[in-house]
Amino acid sequence: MIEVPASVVSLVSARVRDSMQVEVRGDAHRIKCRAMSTPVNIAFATSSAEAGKNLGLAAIDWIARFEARYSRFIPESIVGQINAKGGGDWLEIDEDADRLLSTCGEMHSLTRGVFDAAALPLLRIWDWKAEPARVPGESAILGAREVSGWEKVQRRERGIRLPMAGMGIDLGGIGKELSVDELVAMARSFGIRDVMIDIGQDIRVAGRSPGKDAWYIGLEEPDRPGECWTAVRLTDQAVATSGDYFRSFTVDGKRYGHILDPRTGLPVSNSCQAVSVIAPSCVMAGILSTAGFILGAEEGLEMIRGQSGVEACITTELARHQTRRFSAYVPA
Amino acid sequence: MLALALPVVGLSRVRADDSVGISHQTYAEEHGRIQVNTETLRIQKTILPWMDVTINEVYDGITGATPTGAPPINRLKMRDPGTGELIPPSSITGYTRQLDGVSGASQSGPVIRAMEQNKLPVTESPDQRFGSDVAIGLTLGQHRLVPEFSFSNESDYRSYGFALNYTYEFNDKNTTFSLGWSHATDQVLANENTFLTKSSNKNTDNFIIGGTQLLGPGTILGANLTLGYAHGYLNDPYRAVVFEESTLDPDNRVVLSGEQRPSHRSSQALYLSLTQAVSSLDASVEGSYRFYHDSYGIYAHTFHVAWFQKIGKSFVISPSARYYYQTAADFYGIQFPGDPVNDPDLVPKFYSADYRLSRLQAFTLGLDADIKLNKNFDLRLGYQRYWMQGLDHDTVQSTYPKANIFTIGLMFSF
Repeated sequence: MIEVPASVVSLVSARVRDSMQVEVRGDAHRIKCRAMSTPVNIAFATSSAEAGKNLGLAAIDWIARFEARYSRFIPESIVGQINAKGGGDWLEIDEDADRLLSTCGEMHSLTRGVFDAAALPLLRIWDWKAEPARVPGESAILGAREVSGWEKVQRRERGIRLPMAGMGIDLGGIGKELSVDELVAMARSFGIRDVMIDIGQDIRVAGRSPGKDAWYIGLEEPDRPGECWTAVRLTDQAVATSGDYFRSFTVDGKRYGHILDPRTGLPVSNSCQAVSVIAPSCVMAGILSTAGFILGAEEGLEMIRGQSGVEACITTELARHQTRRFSAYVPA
Repeated sequence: MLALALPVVGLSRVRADDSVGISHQTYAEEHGRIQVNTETLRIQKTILPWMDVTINEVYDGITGATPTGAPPINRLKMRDPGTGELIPPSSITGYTRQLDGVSGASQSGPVIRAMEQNKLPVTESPDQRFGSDVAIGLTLGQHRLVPEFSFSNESDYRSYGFALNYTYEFNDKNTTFSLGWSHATDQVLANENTFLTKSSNKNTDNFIIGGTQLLGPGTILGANLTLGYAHGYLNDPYRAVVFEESTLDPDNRVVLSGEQRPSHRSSQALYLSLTQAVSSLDASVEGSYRFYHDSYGIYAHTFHVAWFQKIGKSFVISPSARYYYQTAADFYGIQFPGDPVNDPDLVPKFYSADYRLSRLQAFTLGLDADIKLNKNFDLRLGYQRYWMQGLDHDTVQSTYPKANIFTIGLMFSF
């Protein structure tokens, strides 16, 4: 069975703990740190200083352990070891990893194949940080597509096999969201009812913000990152936003955003700027926002409307398209 | 007869000819501040010998910026809530309104650019307002009763109003007695730019009593007293305040708080006017004074004078000047001690940094022209220059607006 060395977990834990900042004002607690290459923001209310401290430490340890196990950038992680064995034999995995990979499969089906945790070969050939920017050639894209796709991943109970060399999985589209859901559940297990978990702007809340009747979450304006075009009022929901407005490059006058359509191997180019989804869980919100972005306003909204308890707003270059009850979450 | 040609004074609603009027007004503050473009349609029609109807439809397009209430950074006096030590303004990078979180795709969070130290923080909230007003005039001999219904709607504000005005003319129409009551129920709607977390209501009632007296063939004296009472949510939901121990976010931005005004406000206003015909010059002059006081602690005085000069048969030009002075509200300040979360014991009960509640004076110079184009059409052109000045030496002068106001209107009488 794939094991992650304890030393790796310790190293990641130390890094995350080093970045940790704690603010306590009365019953309001706020913990900030950096993990999974993104800011983590945990806010909750409790009159028990002990419970607050314990939750903070447990949450940080949980996040660090999760990163150590599932980051594709850590060779000793479970994902790192799976990816190193592309074209090789079956690998045994533990129950947690098995459940996570099963969720990836379910989300692949739910999103008509556009959420694809096995699209790593495509991600590898597109480099949004390269200087100067460059577009991969057609043959490179074709080659990457041949070894991409969740349908090619072989699964059995507590087992996974990547049958072709060059295959790889990346949990970047689901790991943060799953962590958010897990940490909300953890807070509840500590007896804390009012909590907000924000990992890289994927957010889930329970209860209400200290001193308010709910949690108020701004939705970022794609044309002015850092500013919000509206806010939503949530009490027991998650909200996630996908968009390519913050990371892209331009070659020969054509803009290439960082969200890839696994069906074509190319960056999405359908005039979508951002998709925000409110859902009962952060995994659902995150996956549907990414899928909605890839599918575009019309098909994306149609897919989202089919999900129970889910509302969305899709911002395109020309307009904002909303599901029928999205506005019910906007304070008015 | 000359008295009838004088400008109408006071609150009486005098029945006029049937007419349709349209007008446009641009109120434009300098330096990119608030601009309001107003389009008005006014219809006045006598339905029956004893009943007339006046309908006003108004559209306002509002753009531009207005001060948030926070001072420029270099005017801040901030303290560390833990140690009480002063935090130098140079270390502060700006202001932020506290949302609990932001969902977006930038992931690494917003790019924070340090704000200029001496820049007045402003915020933009473009809006549109549609307003409707219907007044039904009922005249029975010397008595006139005017019930009036109004409604206006903005994205963040909704108002429903009702008014009832009564006028009694006696003493050969040389004396007019007026009595009025108005009520408005307003909804202040929450949005992401406000400090409101849920929509709130306010109610306002005004009672007015007054009249006019013809003192001589060319002299009219007018007077009225208005008593007002408002209660409910009386804050400006967009106005921010800064406390000395306000939280600084990780980017060293001051977390702004909403203002807190009393939830009740009573007011008294006394208005006096005198209009005098100057027959030798074919003109008239009107002067007025208004005294105002309210439970916020504001005392205000307004002086206004206008000269109406008739030129030929179809042209009236009227230069005017207005001076306004007010004292500050008891709870006005540019910054306040403590912090509602970090140090609530030091926080005053009420606090606002809305410059409109500061000690100030304002001047208006205007020039209007009424041109009778023919038997049926009247054209009105107007220009006003308006400027406000702070008098408290704390609020920075750039907070106070200077504006140009242009008006053009056309009325068709039939």
